[in-house]
Amino acid sequence: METDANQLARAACGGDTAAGGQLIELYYRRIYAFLRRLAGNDADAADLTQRTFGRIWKVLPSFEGRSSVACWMHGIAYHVYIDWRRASSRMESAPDRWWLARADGGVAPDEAAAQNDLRANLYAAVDGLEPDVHETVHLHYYQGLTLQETADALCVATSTVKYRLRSALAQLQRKLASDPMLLKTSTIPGTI
Amino acid sequence: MTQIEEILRRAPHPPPPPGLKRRLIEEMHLNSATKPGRTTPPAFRSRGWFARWWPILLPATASLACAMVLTLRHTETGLLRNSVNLLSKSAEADQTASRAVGAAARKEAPADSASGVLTEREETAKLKQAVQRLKTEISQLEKLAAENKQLQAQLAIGVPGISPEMAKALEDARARAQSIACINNLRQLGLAVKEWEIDHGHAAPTDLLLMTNEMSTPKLLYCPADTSRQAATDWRSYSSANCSYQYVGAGAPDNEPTRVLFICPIHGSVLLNDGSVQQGVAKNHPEDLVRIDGHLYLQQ
Repeated sequence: METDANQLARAACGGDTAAGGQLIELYYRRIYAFLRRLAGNDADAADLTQRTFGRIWKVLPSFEGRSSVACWMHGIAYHVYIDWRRASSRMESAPDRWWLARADGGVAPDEAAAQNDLRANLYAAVDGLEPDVHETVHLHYYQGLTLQETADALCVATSTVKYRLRSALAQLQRKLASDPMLLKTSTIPGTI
Repeated sequence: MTQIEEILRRAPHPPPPPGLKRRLIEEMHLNSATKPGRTTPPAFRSRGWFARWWPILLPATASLACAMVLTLRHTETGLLRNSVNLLSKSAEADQTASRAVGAAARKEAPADSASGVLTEREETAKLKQAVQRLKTEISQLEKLAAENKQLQAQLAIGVPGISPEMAKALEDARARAQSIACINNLRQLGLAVKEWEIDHGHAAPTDLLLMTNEMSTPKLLYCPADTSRQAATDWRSYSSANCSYQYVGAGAPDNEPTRVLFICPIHGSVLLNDGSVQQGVAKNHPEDLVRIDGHLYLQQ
């Protein structure tokens, strides 16, 4: 798939609008989801997604193919988000409680309710982490980028990504363990 | 993988709002829009290994090229040197052979060889030129010799441009210089006597020739103002005719400081046994020299 994406990028660079449309089809959901989680609302996420793709078309000729297209696009999206946050003086991300409204069926009602509570609280706990850490968690866990891709997208070293992820998991573990309400429903083991 | 990680990996993706994809496609501004299906863009930057490594490859290639050029030059220089050596050797051999052949040809058929005749003519012309040059040099030398003789004659007569006062001053200066040289000779003779005395029982030698090892040169025994004698150049050619001074201190013990050892009959300077030289005493104040038991002393 990545080879296809690279070919599409080449073609789009040459002015192939159909290839550009396929690139949008491939990645706009992931980019939107990434920005939606960071921005906290649909309108800003949609606006940031449009800005991201605008910048992608602008810098597409400079894409050297040294990283994957997904990693490259996430890096651009992350920087678009950072610019937007600085421009709008939002030093802290303001996630909404979208997670709480997110239901996941398929199991028994009691168990499903407990699992949903756990997940929603865990996702909310992730959003409560420091910006650098929760952006790393978003890219690596939510967006499915590898450690190297996450590091490339954030322009940091791979060791920094590993450190942030260890720190995030430790904080989440402590946070869930300290919450009695969550303890009732959590089945997370005591060690990470 | 922990359960937290598993849950995080299975996090749901917020669905994009409807119409977002359409807006994105509408806002797509590619650099050079072409028809769909074109997949090999010329403008796509595909930086190969050369683009990354050229900063290293370029100097390395230049260095390698320089090294190759230097090696080639060195090899060519060596080859040229060898060929020059070979050519010089062959040229020498040819020259020797041609000389031998020429000599043989002159012996066998001197009249038949036109080149031999030409060579002889050239050599004759060169020799004539050399003779002319030598004649000119000889005539110049003769002229110079005549001028030299004339100048010497003028000097013997006297330089016409010098006044009598100046000539007298020059004569006085020459006499002073000769007197000083004479005193210097006597001082060195005194040192020689002292050395002899130290080595031979603290008494002066009975004969001057005994202390030739202590004297650096027989010229010490010649007063420069003595026109009747000549200085001996070495001890083998020395005779009493080369000595200007009178040796009167033969066998004098070194505990008689006022005893006279040498007298210069020209300047009257005397050398005492203590090594001092009294200038002009014998000439100006002969009464100061007294003879006791046949030995001459300076009266204090």
